[in-house]
Parts: sequence; C-alpha cells; structure tokens
Amino acid sequence: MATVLTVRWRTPPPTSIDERLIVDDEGRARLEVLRPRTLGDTVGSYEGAVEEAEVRELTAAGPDVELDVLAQDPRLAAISVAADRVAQRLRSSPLAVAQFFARPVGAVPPLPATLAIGVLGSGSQPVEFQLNLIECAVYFSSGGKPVSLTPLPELPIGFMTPDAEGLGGVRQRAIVPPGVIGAISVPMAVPDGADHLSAQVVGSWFLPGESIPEEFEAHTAPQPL
Amino acid sequence: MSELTAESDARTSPGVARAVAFQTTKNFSNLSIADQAVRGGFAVAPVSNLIGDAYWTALQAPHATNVAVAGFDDVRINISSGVYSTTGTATPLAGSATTEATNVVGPAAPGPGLPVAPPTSLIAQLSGLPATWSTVGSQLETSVTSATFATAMAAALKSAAAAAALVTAAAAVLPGFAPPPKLSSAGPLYRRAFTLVNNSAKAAAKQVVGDLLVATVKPTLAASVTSLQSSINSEVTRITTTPPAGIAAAGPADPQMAAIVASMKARLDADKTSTAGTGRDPTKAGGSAPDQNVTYSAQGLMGSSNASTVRADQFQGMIEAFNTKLRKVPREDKFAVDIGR
Repeated sequence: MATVLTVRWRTPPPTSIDERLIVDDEGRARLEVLRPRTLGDTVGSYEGAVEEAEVRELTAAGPDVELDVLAQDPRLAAISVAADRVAQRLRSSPLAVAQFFARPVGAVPPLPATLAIGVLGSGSQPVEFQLNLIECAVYFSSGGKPVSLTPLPELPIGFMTPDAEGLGGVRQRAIVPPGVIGAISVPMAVPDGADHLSAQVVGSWFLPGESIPEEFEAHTAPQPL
Repeated sequence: MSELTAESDARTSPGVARAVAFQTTKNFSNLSIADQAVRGGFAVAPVSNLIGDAYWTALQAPHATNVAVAGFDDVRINISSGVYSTTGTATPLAGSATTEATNVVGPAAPGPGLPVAPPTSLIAQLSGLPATWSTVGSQLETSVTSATFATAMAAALKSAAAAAALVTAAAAVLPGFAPPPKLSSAGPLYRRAFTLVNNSAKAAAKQVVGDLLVATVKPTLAASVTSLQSSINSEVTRITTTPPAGIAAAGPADPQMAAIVASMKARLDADKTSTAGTGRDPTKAGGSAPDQNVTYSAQGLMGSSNASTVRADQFQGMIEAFNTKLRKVPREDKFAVDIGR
C-alpha cells in the first residue's frame, strides 16, 4: 500500500490548522484532522473508500497539494472542491476520533463550582493522546466577547469514566475506546460578568499505528454558565 | 458520596455513608491494588510508551523555547514537520542517523543473547535508575506517598462524578431518554460503592506509578538531548570556524555528524535561495516562496503573529483593577474592554 496523494489544508506559516487527506493506491482515503480548519471540538482520523475518478481529479496537480484556506489558488480550485467533497464524506466514517467538551457541573464538594472537561471516543479504534496542560485553557466570555482566560491547573489525575476507570491523558497517554466517555474535574472560578465558557484542549496525538505523536488542538463549543 | 447519593433513591441514600466507609476501610484491599499497579505500571508495554513519549517530549522541548527579540516580544522558532522526516527510512541520512542514534541510545534492548549496552549509552543510564530508588530522599520516597495517593484518588472520584454528570446531561437531551433506575436497596449500593472505590484506587495507583517513572527518567532524557545538541553544535562550530589551512590539522570529522550537518546546510541554502528577493516577512505570509523549513512566530498583545487585532482579555486585569479601585460609584458604570471603536 503506497500513498498516491496528500492534500494539506493550511494557513500561511506559522500555520494554525492541520488537516490532511491521504489517498493510497488501493482506493482508500484517510482524513486526519489534528487542528481543525474551523474552531472545532473534534479531532482524529476518518477513513473510507475513494472512487478512481476522484483520485484522478485529486491528483491533477501532482501527489502533494497544499491548499491555503485564506487565499485560494485559482489553479487549485477544482482540486479544492473535490478534496472538500471527499473529506466531508469521510467524516461519516470515523476511524479514531475524539470529541472534547466542557460543561460546568455545579458543586462537587468541597469545590463551590466545578468544570468537567470531557472526551468521547468514536470510530472503530481507540484514540490515544496526552494533554499538554501548560497550553490548555478555559476561556470566559460575556455577550460573545472574551473577558478572560484561565490556564488549567496542574492536575493530579487524567480522564475518568463514570465507573471511575482511569483513561489517562495527564502526564501519560490516554487510551479512550470508541463509545467511552471520560471527564476531568477542574476547580473553576468564574470571573464577574462572564456568561459562557469554552476550553482550548491542546496536546500530543497518536495517529493510528504511529508511535511519534503530533500536536493537536481542539476548541469546545461555548457553554452557558 | 455525592455520586452515590445522586444514584440512590430516598430510602437507600441514608446508607451511602455506611457503604462508603465499609468499602474504603474493611473491604479495601490496598495491598492487592498496589501490587496490580506496580505490576501493570512496570510491564514492558506501558514502560516503553512512557519512556518513548517522555523522550519525544524532551526532544521537542527546545522547540518550545521562546527567544526575547527587541520589538517582537517573545519569538518562537518553528521547525517544519518535513525536517523531522529527513532522517526517515530511504532518505540519504537514514544510515548516518541510525548509527548516531545507536551511539547515543545504545543497541537494541540488552537481554539474553544480545550485546550489553555501553555504560555511557542512554539505555544503560535508564537501566541504572531504579537502583537510585533505595537511597534516602530518592524519587521513590518523595513521589510515592500516602498524600500523593490520597490526592490522586480524591481527584479520580471527583472526575468520575463529573463524567457521570456529563453522561446524564448528554443523555437527557436525547429523544425518548429514560433516566436509569435509582439504587433502591443495600446490595446494589454496596456493589456500586465497591466499583467506584476500587476502580478509583487502581487509577490513582497507576497515575502515581506513572508519575514516578516519568519524574525519574526525565532528567536523564533531558541530559541526553542536551548532549546530542552539544555534539551537533560542536561539529557546526568546528566546520564554520576552522580556517582552510587548519582543516588537515583538525583531523577527520565524525562521519555521522558531518553528514547531518551537511544536510542541514543544504536545506538552509535551499531555503535561502527560494526566499531570496521575495520580500517575504519571516513572521507572516507575503512572498511567493514555497514552504519554509524554519519560520518564526511572535507572541504579543495582538496574539500569535497577528497584526490586525488586539486581544481583549489582555486588558481584563487592568480594567478589573480600575473598576475596583478607581471607579466613582455610583456615578460611573463599570468600565469594559471594547476593542476597535
């Protein structure tokens, strides 16, 4: 199995996004989303079949294509449309995908207010990642405008299931099987006037079958306080 | 306690405290949990993952270092991912990189029938670390304490409660959702308490053992990376500072280092050629040059390499201090950050 095409979506350097479509010579395509093009809460790998005609369309400009999402190159317009179409289709067949979310869950004594940062695995394989706590943060906003951000504190343990099974993720690799939900409880101090919160989740991501991690970044959807 | 109370009906919830007390004392098998955690934590696969991940973190750490540049605040040097793959299989540098890695890290895992790792190699240094745990004030003594375990276990239970709350909240919005039946008798309550206490204890023990391993290997891995950087730096300095007349006297270069340095120089020359005359701003897009191997990002009031907006949250602390200490109440309303007007 050899790679016949790699399409990368990116912004000018230093790029803030990392999405790529990889097509092999057996008619399989994989979409890897580690820093989504639009602020998103879901990262991981999707996999599915790709038609021969689509491969011809996608390889029209060579085996390596870079699509600048800020300034589209008119010469790559047709490839961009085809790549978007394939990527959109692949999103319905996750291979190893994690959705992150953050919700205030009220008081968990002795904490007056607690934030749950959650992860839900989906696909046919477990997701593997490790948080980089220094770069994770909780954003507070008011009326749609940012008011402050709080870095995550040093956490004593990683993601836990409702049955108190440890999934990892803090100072060691998390392994979250499909369909499993895990959460980390974080003490929260809400600034005056804030009415919504969201979390920036950053860390190292292990693509299926890879031992060297890559950076990922997800942004959870804003939640009312 | 709070999770069990939430899961129990009115008749059963008064027994929650008794069930928790039983499962955390009389029925709590601390020795078997500790034994499982140590056996699980020191198995080949988890240790390989931990050391591999920690080594990668150590290798990446220099890339995350900010450099203070006047007029730019903190500047970070970004290395293109393509640079990492220059030593991959089937690349010109693969042989040199493998030889250099074997010199630094050591041969494949020593064992029956395999060569013993040289004492200066990384593998030999890592193998010697557990012997340091028996000394007074060792990493084992400071990391694995009852307080550390208690903190991790309390956090595990809070996180499990948070996960349960998330599941309930998520399920509640699904059409046809029926909440799970409450625990209505002592038997299920005691079984549920047993599950939560034992699972969280296992998770806490695993975390504590993992943290011990990472804290133990981290200085050794960091020193190895520093040593590798130093070797490359020495070779670059030697090549760039030795005058032509002194090359013969300097003796032959380390062939692996010479190959790596030559490759680095070739990439830099290619970058220089491709960006020449493009007017490309190294902190932002602008020219027509292809992707660069090295870029720079500046972090300041305007965010990361952003020249068009100012981040409102950067001013929030100042505004809050102003509202608290200088605002004339009730004549003045609270001041707020408003960018762009």
